[in-house]
Amino acid sequence: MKIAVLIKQVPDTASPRSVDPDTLRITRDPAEAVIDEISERALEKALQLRTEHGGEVVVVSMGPDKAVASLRHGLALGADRGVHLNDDSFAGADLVWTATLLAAGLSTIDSVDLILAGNASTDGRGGAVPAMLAELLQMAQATSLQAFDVVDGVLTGERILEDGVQKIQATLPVVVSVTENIAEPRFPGFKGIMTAKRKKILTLDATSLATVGEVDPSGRLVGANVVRSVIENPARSSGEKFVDDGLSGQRISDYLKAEGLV
Amino acid sequence: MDYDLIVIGAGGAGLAAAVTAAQAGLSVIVFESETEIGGSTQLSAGMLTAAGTSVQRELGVEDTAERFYQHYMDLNQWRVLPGPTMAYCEEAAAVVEWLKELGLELPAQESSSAHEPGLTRAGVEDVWRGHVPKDQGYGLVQVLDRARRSLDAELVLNTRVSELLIVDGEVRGVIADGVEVTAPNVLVASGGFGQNPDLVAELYPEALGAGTYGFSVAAPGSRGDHIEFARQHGLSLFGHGWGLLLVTASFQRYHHWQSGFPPASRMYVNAEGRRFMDEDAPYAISPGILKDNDGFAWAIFDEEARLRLPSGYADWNSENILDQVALGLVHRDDSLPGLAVQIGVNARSLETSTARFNQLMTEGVDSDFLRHQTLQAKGTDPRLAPIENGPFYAVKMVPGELVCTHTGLQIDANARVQNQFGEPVIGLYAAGEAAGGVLGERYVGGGNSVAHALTFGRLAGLHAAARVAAS
Repeated sequence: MKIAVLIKQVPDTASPRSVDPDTLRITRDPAEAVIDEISERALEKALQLRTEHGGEVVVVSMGPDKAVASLRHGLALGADRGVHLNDDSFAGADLVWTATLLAAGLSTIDSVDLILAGNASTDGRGGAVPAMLAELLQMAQATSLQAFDVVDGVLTGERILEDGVQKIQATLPVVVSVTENIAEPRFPGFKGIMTAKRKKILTLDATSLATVGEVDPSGRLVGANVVRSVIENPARSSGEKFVDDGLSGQRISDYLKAEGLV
Repeated sequence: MDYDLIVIGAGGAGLAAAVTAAQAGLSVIVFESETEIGGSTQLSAGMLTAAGTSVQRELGVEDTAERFYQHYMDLNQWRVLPGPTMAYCEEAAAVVEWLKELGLELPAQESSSAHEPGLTRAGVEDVWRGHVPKDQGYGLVQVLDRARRSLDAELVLNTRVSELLIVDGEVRGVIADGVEVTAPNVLVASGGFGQNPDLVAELYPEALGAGTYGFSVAAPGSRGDHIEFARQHGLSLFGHGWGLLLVTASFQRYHHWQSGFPPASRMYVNAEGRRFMDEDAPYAISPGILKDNDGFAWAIFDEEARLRLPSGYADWNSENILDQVALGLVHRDDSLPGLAVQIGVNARSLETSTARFNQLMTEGVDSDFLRHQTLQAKGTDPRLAPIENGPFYAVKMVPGELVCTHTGLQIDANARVQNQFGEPVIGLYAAGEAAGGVLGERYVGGGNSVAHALTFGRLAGLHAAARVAAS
């Protein structure tokens, strides 16, 4: 079975993340860049499927130069090779461009059976790329699965809804997006990290992908979605502190009523 | 060689060394056996004992490294190694300033506990040396790791170093996950052996004194890998039989910040039924006092005190005391003589001790054990309610909480390790609980271990950097 897993490098959720008011894009401090945890879970599922069915796992990522670290991490976890879509014009690509470019990149991998991705990234949080990919690649889509199996070329999986569980079935090839529950990611050992250094990562730029699109004055692809402005969240006030004089219960009750909370 | 410095362990000591070495331009890799960084440092209050810091100066506290050294050595009866101990006393303040530069928040304000940022009394020292950072040990580890990442010092999790490679008295590297990794400098910062019962039995048997009431609060990775390295290569160990035990209730299983605190109005009596110590004596000295008294104390308190226990703590709450009575771990009787019979102490002694306790503590001047001074240092009112409203309770207090183990690879003032013949192993360093010679039988107070770990981690990093620069 040949599986492609989409990997994204994102700012660490534990770090102070921000949007640059000048470029209108997410500030990506190199020290705080990590592999998105949902990507690791999707990859873990792929590795489990490879153990079950044999075959190959390819990690694919679109990102700046340093995103290669996340691809190496994927290789250290056990993927066989990587594909890095990297070009200055890709910076700040919107969802449509991201899906278009990823589709072009994925098309360079022959006979893919499964394309696995997380259901949404922790930075952009669009959650739309997997579905768009399925349409662009003319494949079945099975999104937001919390579990699935593949038997004789047929995928059956589960999607949790608010009021129940939906059973999904699709014939390969399928674009699958997964939720957190899909698998617990393993930890790479040092041996895995050392072996990963010898595995191949293919870099594809705009020319290799033969994508044609309008570029803005700074050389970046103009998207279907354009960020017009960014406003910082107003600072949260620290709240009121008072010492109990026996009447604090009343004060709290008054406050809750005034705020319309009770 | 693959790297300039290999660090074994990503706790406080290892991270301090990695950041120091990386700041000096060395290529560094840190191997951490567990799946997360921080070791025992992350679980701690992150407190640092140091003398002559900017925090002390801002609060008008005059202190010197020499004064710190005098206190440290006196408390340990001069049985720790003067060379590295002086280095610790001298360098700890610089480490505090270095951490502040890295972003650690250490406000210049007075603190009355290990959970309140600021300057506090660490143990029994006459000048306050306990520096409590914001966000505790977790915050400290985060500051160090953020610096590590920005300096590109590598970190590998889930990888236990199984062997040190030493050839002709010189370090060559390590074996990690079956892979040989070479470096001219290796720092052993793998923590203590609090999670290794066999090593505890062998090297710190006092910790077994609490029997089934004992528990360890060391991080999971504290398995004493440094002892194995010592045996593989004939390295010198120092500190046999030493460590830090905290006095805890028989039914306690967690550190007091989770378990809770016994009532202030409690009296400790020994097997003879006599009050024998300041109940709030800092843990710098309390385990030693218990050792002189058959290794335990009975904490005596009354119904009034039980009902006043605040809710929210895991073990020391008013309902759990009754549960423990039902389980037989806490004794309860309507009268003090009845209680004395239950716990097997002399009734006359118990009544005499209680009467005197009530007389002294209600006035707030404990002329026998000077407990009022300890309470005042903690910011507590020294006048305590008397023990007089039955039923009465007796809880056995034992040195049950194993915090640190002090048997480690013998180091010198530069954190360098030597073999059993006293010959230095070139390029080999140790820091934290994996290092021996400075952590003695008496723990100086809150912050002793963390400050010691970071100081020698930093000294090792500086020395390794000097070696690389000279070569």
